[in-house]
This record gives sequence, structure tokens and C-alpha cells, in this order.
Amino acid sequence: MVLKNNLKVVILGLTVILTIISIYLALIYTPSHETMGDIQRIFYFHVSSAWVSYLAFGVTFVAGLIYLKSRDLKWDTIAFSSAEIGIIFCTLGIITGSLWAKPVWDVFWRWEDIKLFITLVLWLVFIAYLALRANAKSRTSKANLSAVFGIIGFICIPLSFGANRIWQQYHPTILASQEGSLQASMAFALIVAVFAFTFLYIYLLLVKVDVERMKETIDEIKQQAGG
Amino acid sequence: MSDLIYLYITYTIIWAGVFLYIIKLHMAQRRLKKEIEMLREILNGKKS
Repeated sequence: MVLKNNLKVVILGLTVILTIISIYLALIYTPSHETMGDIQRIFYFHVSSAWVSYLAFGVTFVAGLIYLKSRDLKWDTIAFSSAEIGIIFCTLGIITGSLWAKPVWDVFWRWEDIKLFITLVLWLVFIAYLALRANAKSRTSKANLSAVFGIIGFICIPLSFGANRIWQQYHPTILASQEGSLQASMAFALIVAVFAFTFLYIYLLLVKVDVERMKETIDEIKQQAGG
Repeated sequence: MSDLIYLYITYTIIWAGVFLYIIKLHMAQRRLKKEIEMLREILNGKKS
């Protein structure tokens, strides 16, 4: 318990330090983009939010598979906790992307862009995951439904990640294309932001799992008291 | 609206979203901890 609390403090400390550095790098250290200007500074945390949502849904997928194999409910708790964090960051990714799009594309959203569409589907699948979970009656059916939905939702991730690389529509492909390649300072700022958000995700996951375990403990105590 | 306003709104949304979620989790953690302690006290009182 003490070790776990110490781990949380260390991860929180790293998150705060990396976040402060990444904000400095994104807003002050990096130059303005040649064509987009200052609006490009959104991209450091937009990409980081998208990365954390993929990571979180990936953890949900893996934890769901382990649950289906082992039937150990602790994996369901991890899967659910990660899915909730994934939804938060997916929402942030969609909002920040739309706020970047307005000055650059002159619209908040392009329905014809497959990457945007698949990302929206991914978000909706995990919203449905939460809704299904909230309405499932027993703890086991909750866990079974969640695991299946988590696996279905995960299918959208490679599609969402690869859509702009395959179809090359409006959404920029910054990390892979020659024309969109980043200057060294911008790439460095992006890497630091991604690390900051990854540590933030780990911290949030530890706290959220704790909260879910406490809820389970309360249910157990109530059952004991009733029995 | 200028680019800087969009930038300002975006950063505000990101950090407000993250902080609100952290606060929500910590408040839930504190509330549940108290509830567990209270339930354990009740349960121990019943046993003795």
C-alpha cells in the first residue's frame, strides 16, 4: 500500500514536471509553423490526447482479453478504468482537433474525412461501452459485456490511426510524410508532451482503479453486513 | 477570431478538463474512504 502510494507520488511528480516543460516547449521554445502560424501549437497536446486515448483503449482491449481468459474481475476493473480515461482523452482530442480545424479549414468538422469519422465512431463505441456497463444487472454480465465491447472498440484504433495514411484526405499526416515532417525543436516538444500525457494516464489509471476497488470493498462490506 | 484565441480556448479546455477529472477522482476517493471506515465501524460494533 505504502509502495503503491509512493509510486503514485513519483508518477504525479514526473507528470507535473514534464507537463510544465511541455507547455514551455509548446508555447515558447518552438517556432511558429511556416504555413499554419501559432495555431499549430495546438497540435502538441492534440496528438498527445489522441495517443493517450489509443493507449487507454489498447489497455482496455488487453485487460478485457485477460479477463475473458481468466475470469478474474480485477482485469475488468482495470479495463473499465482505462476505458473511462480513454473517453476523456478522446473527447479532448476531438475538441482540440475541431478548434485547430476552424482557422485552418474554415470549418470545425469535415464529415468526408475518414479519419475524423472513424475517430468519432471509436468515441461512440466507448460511450456505448459505458452505457451498457451502467445498465448491466450483475457484476459478471457487466464484465462480460464490457470485455466484448472493449475488443470491438479496439478494432477502430488501427483504422483511426491509419486512415490519413491510407486515404490521404484533409487530416495532416505529420509523422510520416516528407512535406509534413517536423523541425527538430517541434519533434522534441511533441515527444515531451507525449511522455507527459503518458505519465498523466498512468497516474489517472492508478487513482481510478483505486476508486473502483473501494466501491467493490463497500459492496463486499454491505454484503457481509446483510448476510 | 484570431489564431491566438483558438489557441487560448484549446489550452483552457485541455487543462480544465484534466484538472476537473483529477479533482473528481480525488473527491470520490476521499468520500469512499470515509464510507469504508464508517461501514467497518458499524460492522465491528455489530460483532462486538
